[in-house]
Amino acid sequence: MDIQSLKATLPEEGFCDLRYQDFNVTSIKGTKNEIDTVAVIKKTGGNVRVLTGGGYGTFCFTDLEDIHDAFKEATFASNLIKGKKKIETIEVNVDEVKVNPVLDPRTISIEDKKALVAKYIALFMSDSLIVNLETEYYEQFTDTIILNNKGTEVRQEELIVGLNFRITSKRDDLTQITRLSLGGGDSFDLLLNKEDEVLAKVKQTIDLLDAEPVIGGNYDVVLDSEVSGLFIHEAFGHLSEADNLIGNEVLANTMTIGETFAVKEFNVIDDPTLPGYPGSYTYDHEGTKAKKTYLIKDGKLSGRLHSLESAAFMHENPTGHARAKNFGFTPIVRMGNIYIDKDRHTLDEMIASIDDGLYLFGSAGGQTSGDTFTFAVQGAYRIKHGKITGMVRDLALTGHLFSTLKNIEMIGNEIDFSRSGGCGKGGQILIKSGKGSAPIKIKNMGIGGK
Amino acid sequence: MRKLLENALKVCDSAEVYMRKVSSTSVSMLMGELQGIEGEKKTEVSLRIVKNGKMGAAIATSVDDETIIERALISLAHQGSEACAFENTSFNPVQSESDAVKNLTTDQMVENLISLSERIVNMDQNIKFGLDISKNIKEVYLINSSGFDGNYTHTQLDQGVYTLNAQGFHNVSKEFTGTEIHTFSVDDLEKLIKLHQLDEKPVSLSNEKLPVVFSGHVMGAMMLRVLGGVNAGNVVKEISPVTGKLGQQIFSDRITIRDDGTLPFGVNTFAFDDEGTPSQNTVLYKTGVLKNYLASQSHARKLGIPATGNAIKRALFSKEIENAPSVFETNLIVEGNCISDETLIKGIERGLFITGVMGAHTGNINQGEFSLNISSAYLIENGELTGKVKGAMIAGNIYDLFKNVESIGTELEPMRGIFYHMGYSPMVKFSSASIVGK
Repeated sequence: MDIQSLKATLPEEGFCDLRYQDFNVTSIKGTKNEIDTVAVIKKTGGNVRVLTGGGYGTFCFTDLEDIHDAFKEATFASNLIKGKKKIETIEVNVDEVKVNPVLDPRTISIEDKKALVAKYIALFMSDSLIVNLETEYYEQFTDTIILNNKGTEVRQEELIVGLNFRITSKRDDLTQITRLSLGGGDSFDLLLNKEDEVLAKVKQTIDLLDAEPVIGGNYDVVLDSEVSGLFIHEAFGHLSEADNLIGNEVLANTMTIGETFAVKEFNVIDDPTLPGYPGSYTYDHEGTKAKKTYLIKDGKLSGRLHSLESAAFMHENPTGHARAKNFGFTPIVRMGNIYIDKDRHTLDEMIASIDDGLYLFGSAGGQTSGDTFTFAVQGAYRIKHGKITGMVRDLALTGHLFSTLKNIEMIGNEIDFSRSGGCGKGGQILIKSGKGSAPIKIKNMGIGGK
Repeated sequence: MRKLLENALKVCDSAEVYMRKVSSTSVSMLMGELQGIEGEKKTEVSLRIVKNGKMGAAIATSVDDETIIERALISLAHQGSEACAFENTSFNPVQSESDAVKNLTTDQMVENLISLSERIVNMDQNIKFGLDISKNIKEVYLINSSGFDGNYTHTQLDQGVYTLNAQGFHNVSKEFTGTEIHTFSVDDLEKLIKLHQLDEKPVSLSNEKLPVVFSGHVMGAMMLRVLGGVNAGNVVKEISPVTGKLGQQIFSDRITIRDDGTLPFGVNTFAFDDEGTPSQNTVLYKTGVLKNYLASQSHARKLGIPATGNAIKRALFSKEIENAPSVFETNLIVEGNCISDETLIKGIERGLFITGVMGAHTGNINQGEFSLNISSAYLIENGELTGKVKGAMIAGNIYDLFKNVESIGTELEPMRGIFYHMGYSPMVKFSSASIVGK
């Protein structure tokens, strides 16, 4: 890829940008004891956006010869939209970002990667009660050139490597599923020496077979860091993505900065600049430098995640959160590493404060629509008279965002980040999306059982 | 393509080249204002090779990228999956393309939205709403060393309208998808506005057992679980709950479910699947009796059943070229002893009409389990929709729930899993389900 010849294709009129990307994935997938597929994927393509009319015209291409037509199509499309939209606050950056991992996965042979995966698979499958295991090793390396006609010229490498396991235990007719993720940063060494974590997950997955099914209803709950991270991602994070607000002034009013959302000890931050997590990066896919952004500060709505367009619409500053799955997609506002900041409570204090409730562990996926959210967890412990008792299984949580945030009573004193990325929005699954949290206590949470 | 196949054959025993050319345009509008117009033109190539009984695969974004052969050899050297021979079965043409969609220009798509927008405003000036239209043309070419040489074109037009409630959140939606252009009728829009207005009458439920009606759209969440059972891959792995149950009555005799890749103008209609197997109409459950599994070539061989034309390059959340052909639906069709939607709702004294759920992708899908947030539903009292239900959940297992099918409506809606359309279903009434309320 030659930056200068790409730059020469940028039309002068209005605002336009170009993303050109080499996209490389190595994946190893297995089922039960077997490694089914090994793939070395290589794709190249570009995506252009033009703003000469009342909205963006965008066009994606795979053949570099189509680049002029892509700009032509995008200009034609933008001009079809009545009006003259302007992006006022464009941050111009010229930079080159190279990855520099402790142990670069690209230097490890496929044989060695396979051997590591096979070792963990054998550990999982060593117990006969584990009846199914889905394994995925992924290593995604992208080299992206981001240019615009205002002067931005960013070339950025991004790398993420990880291992995801989905584990099924079964006894008689009862099955339980848990998940374990390793890595999620740019270094291969995060995947090594995780035998203890694997064996603990095997034990937990089997122990769940002895757990009682939860009885649906409202409970006071403590969420472990992984579940709290999923909660804040689903319940609040998506609503902080300001592209929701473009053209929707009613929602913009609902999300007025300064509005009190939670207790004053409650702080939510999105920070792509933290190194080593799934949602870590330097520049977003519009070439804006990623910024640590307070979303809730001292319980009050204090900021939101922006693209250039959403920042212009809201007359706020871009935060560097416009990203795309790959060159085939237009950048949309996405979370980087979202987390609930720590406060002062120990986990024991939170559990001791509950007379009859649940301590929820392990995330199992969620979804959000507007102000309601839902997510599933891998399991929970019953809390009786301030003490953890037996395990319960088959839990899903649901709630209304604003009332649930107000029901957060205690926040833990230690943050932990999830090793698994992955978030779906607008038909794009983005693996480089991170989440974390201190454990939290929420009163009166709706729990659905079966 | 031919050259790539020939070059690949210099280093392997048999090979297959798949190429697709995709062009698409989508336009969105919110509150009467056009928001953006997106387009794409992509060429993607996939190579699968077999050597010494092992299989390898790789992809590229150009037929001229010959590193694809080296990468397929790396894949072949390391993966454990057994090779399956590339087939050469003749296929019949299907109705998977429409000239009207092919010739639809971006200007016309914009005009279409403006005109629909004006119609809605004329019906209700206060309603806040968004519109989307998306056109996709896909040309697929497949050749293999057994002599298969096929191609087809698939056109698709998705059209959707959604309304926003007083806080600006998503309220009610209606969509059409298929190979052809659909025009929203007055009746479609009137129904949409009527449901939209019920947002002003919120209703809370307690924990109770009620008759429930799933809209055709929401049946998609259930179909993900039906598919987990009839997917021959899960039967081979012995994780399907209907392993070894062909011929048994599994669901109520009031429901029939089939997968029809040949459905004229269907959203997922194609001439052959991504392994070159001709598409077909496969009955999965006939009046509740399990009739067939959906099988790829390799599953078919293992189970001694015919391949059904369901090996598709996709995953639950992705339709990328690198997804290995796996068993997925074509056009799932839900049918049975139908009564009109109106009569079906009128016959319910107290029940729930569910039009939106969240969490379809969570839980033990293959076992049929579901635990869903009801994001949109209406209370039915004495045959009338009387209010919008908020904050309820429904959980269970399809192998219990589908024993309680009581009646099936008539108006087909596109079903959605999470991201993608799965086929078509009318509304389905189940005699009883547990709802977790407030």
